[in-house]
Amino acid sequence: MRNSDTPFKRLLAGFFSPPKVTPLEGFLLRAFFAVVVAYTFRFEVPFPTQAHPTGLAHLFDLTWLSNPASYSMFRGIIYFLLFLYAAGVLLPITLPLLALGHVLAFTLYNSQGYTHHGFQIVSLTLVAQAGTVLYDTFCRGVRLRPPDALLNSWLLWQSQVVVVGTYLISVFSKLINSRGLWLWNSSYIATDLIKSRRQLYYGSLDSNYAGDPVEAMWLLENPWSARALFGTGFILEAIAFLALANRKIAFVIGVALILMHRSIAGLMGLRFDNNEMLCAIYLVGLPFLAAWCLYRIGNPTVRLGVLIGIAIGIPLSYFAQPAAIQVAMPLPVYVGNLIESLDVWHNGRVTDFLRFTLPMWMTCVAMALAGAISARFLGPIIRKPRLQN
Amino acid sequence: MVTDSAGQPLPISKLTGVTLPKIGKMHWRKSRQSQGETEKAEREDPGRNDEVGREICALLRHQAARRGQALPPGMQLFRVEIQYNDGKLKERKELLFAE
Repeated sequence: MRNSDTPFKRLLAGFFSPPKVTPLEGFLLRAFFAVVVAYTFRFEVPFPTQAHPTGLAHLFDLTWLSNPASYSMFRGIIYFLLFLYAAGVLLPITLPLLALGHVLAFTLYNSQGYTHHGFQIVSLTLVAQAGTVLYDTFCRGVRLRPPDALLNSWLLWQSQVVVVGTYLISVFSKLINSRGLWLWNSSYIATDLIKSRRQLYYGSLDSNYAGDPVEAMWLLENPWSARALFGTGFILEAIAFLALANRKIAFVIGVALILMHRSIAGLMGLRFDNNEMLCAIYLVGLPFLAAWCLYRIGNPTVRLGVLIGIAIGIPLSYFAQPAAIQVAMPLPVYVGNLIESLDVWHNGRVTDFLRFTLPMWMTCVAMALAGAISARFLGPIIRKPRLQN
Repeated sequence: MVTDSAGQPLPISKLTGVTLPKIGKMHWRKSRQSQGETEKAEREDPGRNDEVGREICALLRHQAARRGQALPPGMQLFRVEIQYNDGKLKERKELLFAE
């Protein structure tokens, strides 16, 4: 691509070339996504029957997952696979197993007579990544070591396709179900806002949800403003695929989608944690930004020392927690609770989150410094690290 | 909406982990499935409503028990419709099932 190309040509070219991904960004992409997948497994699937089977539940009895002992073992295996996935090893084996495990658990969840599509974006991303790795294996042979630059690029690109694709499907389903009248009828969505709010109140009797939201009432009284507001969200979903063109557009669209979900959460109380987190990872590019920061450390050995220090600091922070926490939960449960504390993304209880995670942040900083210093002085006798530019 | 026998709403999401939208979808799907044909599902069969209501209440009790909670006897399931007419919101409750 030449600099003299028009912006349109440059935009178009972006759709035909996967983004360049450094090894460090590739690792952070996997690590962040592994945390999100682990976060989705915080729920049990306590359903001893599958009275309304969907998908694979037509073929297999999945109710063994409702047994607490079986599910505990199942979840343990998933966590181990996620660890391997984040490390980037054995991907042709770990990714298909992870995809299958995620689909199985949430198929049982969806076989109870009601559908919940909140986890599908995570399952689909795992399926897409598994497909990418298997295709790569088919074309270039088995590779059990961490992915190279090409595979890293394709893993990111395919994940982006899934994320923006879910929004495009949402646009089509809106248009099909409303026979093309969605935008015109969108003024009635305000009634849905009120319905959702009352459902939340009647289902929880939480006084925070009592009364009708003023915004919804205003939108009911101003249908053209409602159409303009909801139309903006509709158009954003329709153009989300432009995020595939380049990182800057992906960043803008990612931020806009997160803001859209936040506004829906504020108005209707509907959570889209998984969508928001995947937008933050694959569109906004948090791993890219974190990798960019880490590449400011010029010495690759010191950079590796910092990363190893942070990785060790997470479990080590258990011993920096107050005795009450150490008594209340063993180390594996503590790590699980650290992942579950991501719930702050939705509940906004930042003080509780910081109180629980502060020892982890402090330990990670201390260990990162220790790692950097060790690497600086022990660097010459350590093998050349792979996480470099 | 799920209420006790006196019609007082129960915080069913907190007690069972099953939200009201899920209960609504479950009721719709169970009713439709039992009647076999989509067209017939438009006309609800009161007898089948009782059967579906019993199934849903049993599931809710099971989920509550797993959480160490107990649901009161005589639960009632209501369908609540909200309409906006002439600048006013109206709520209409229809009893679907009473234990």
